[in-house]
Amino acid sequence: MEVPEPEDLGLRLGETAKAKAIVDGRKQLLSILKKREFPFPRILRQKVTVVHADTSVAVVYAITPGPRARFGDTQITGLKSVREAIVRRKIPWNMATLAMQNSSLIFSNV
Amino acid sequence: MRVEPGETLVEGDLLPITVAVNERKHRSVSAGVSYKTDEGLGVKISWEHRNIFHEGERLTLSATTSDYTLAAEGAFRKPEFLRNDQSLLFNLRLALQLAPYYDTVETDYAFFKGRITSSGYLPVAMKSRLVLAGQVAVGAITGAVREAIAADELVIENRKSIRVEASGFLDLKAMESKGEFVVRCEDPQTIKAITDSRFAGQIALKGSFSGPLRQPLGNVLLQLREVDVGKVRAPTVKGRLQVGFLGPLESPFPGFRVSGTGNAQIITVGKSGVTVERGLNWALDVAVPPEELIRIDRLKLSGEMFSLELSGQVNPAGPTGKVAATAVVEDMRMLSPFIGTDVPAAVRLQTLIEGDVQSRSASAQIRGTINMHEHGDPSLEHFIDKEISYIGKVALKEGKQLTASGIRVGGVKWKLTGDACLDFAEETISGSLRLFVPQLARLSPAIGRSLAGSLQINGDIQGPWEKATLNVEAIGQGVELEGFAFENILAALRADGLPPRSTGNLQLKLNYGEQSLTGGTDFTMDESRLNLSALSAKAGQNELSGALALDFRKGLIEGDVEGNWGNLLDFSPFIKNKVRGSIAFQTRFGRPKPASRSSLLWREKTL
Repeated sequence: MEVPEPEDLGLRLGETAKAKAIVDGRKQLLSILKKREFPFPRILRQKVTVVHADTSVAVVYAITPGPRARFGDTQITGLKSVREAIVRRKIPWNMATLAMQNSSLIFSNV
Repeated sequence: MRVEPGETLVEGDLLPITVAVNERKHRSVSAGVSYKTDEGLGVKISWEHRNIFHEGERLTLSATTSDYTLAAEGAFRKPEFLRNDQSLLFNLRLALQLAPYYDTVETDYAFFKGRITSSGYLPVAMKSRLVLAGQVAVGAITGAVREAIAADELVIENRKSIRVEASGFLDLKAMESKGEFVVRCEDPQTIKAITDSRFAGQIALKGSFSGPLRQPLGNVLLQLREVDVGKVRAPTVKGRLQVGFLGPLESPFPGFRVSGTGNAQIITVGKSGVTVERGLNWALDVAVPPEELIRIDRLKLSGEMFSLELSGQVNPAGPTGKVAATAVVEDMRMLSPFIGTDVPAAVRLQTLIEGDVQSRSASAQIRGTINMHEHGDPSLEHFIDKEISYIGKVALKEGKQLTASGIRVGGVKWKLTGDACLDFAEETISGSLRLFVPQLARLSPAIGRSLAGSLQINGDIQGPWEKATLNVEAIGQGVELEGFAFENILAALRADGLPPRSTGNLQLKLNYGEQSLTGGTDFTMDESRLNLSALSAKAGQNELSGALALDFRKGLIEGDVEGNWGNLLDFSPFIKNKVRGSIAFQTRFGRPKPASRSSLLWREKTL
């Protein structure tokens, strides 16, 4: 599994270390893993060390990505009058697709 | 709408997904009141259903009434019509205009005028800027019954210069149609803009259609003027096309077939307008069945200097395709504006190409001949046979790997075989090559010296582009060059990196009977500088050694070479003359300076 770079999490070397960025980075890390075939990632530990000598902050996120997954069956609920096939045609993934990159759906008004 | 992934995986690695939707109301009614200074007070009521056939179809019905107008309108939109990315739009307007009728000729006619207009727009998916638009209007004044409804003339004109004229009739009893149409486009840039292509030109189409209402057959006379496709221009292109449907017109669309013949006059290339063909005949037979497959049964272009025959299948959805083509160019010099060099030869090519644009993969099997023209370039004629044949396979895999395999090129003078692979992702190259010259004597005129024997060169290359390792071995048998005769010659070159930066070693061994001459050098090439270190040569008791640095740009040579030729008799077999004695020499090559001098120390004994 390819581990995201700190820049991907919004943590840029040399910039002022803000607590919000560290918390946001953690959310971003989980979000990236979900898009990379790992739907159940967990942060095991987060360690932030401030080194006063050189005024730097070291951030360690310990993660477990959980099992790798593919899309399974899709169930559609809530339809009353619209044919299910219409909704199914708009689903952008299929079971052969490993990555979950396009899980956002765009539906027209029906 | 929400998309919710399951909380656990099923069947190992499958994540179930639930899409929860909430339908909004399907129907709505709206009403409005208007006031116009000419028509007075008006009322409009409309009703809309957005899911009338349960697949998102939208039907809107509205009624408008004012002092002078009573109109009913309907609009229908079916999304994802035939394809996911196109919709069918259908508008219907029934208007009863109650405008006053001024009876200027005192006919005492009182009439009722009704008109139904329907228009449809169908985007042609492949070209998003191209939309097929149609409009049909049926009107009645007196209500007289006619079995054949004749449309006297339909004119659609765009101010930008597209003009469509049509006339004809539909016989609803016999279910037949017959008519004529003319399409004109005077502005050469219009077609370019509509089709989003490089094609520009004036178009005139004159056609007729007749036959069963659901399967008419069309004949079209096509005339293009001032055609300009990229670098290629032709003042006139003419043709006769037959257009027919592959089945009765119904849903699903049955597909169509276009076939025809024609010609293009005086084809020129480039800004300077070099004439490459005085006339080119073309023949076309293409079927477009509904399953998104274009079947080219025949596409033939034939002129004085060039011919191409092509057949195959293309799927524009991929796009993917498989095409077999035969091309003949009688004189490659006609293509000089494209390839940038003059090749005085006729080329025949047979190829089978398969490709898939989406996966950026393609392969082509090629075979053919190249026939050099008489009175071409004399320096080329000595090296190249009158006829060279070639065969091989070229393939591109996922846009990353380009391979050439089973390449065989050559004629009587030489034969070249090889394989090569370029990997664009890894930036590596690998390949092997074999050149065989069975009779060096055939190349004598090319170098202007007497030459005999045979030569075989084997080479392979491997590694990253910048630092590829090259191994070349040349084996000469019975080689004779202007009096120097060798039973066999063996030369081996190993180089790390390709010019202009390369280091390596060159070894040479010449044999004649029991005598042999061996030599070698390590070399380092950097741009125009070549350093030869550990330069050595030995023939019997004769030895030579030294180191040289050559600068090709400045034309300089520097270094020392010394020789100790103890027995010149050892050279005799090579030069076919008896020489006796011994020579020792030391030579220094240096930069010429005003006060310096070059030195050659020469000592000989009993020469």
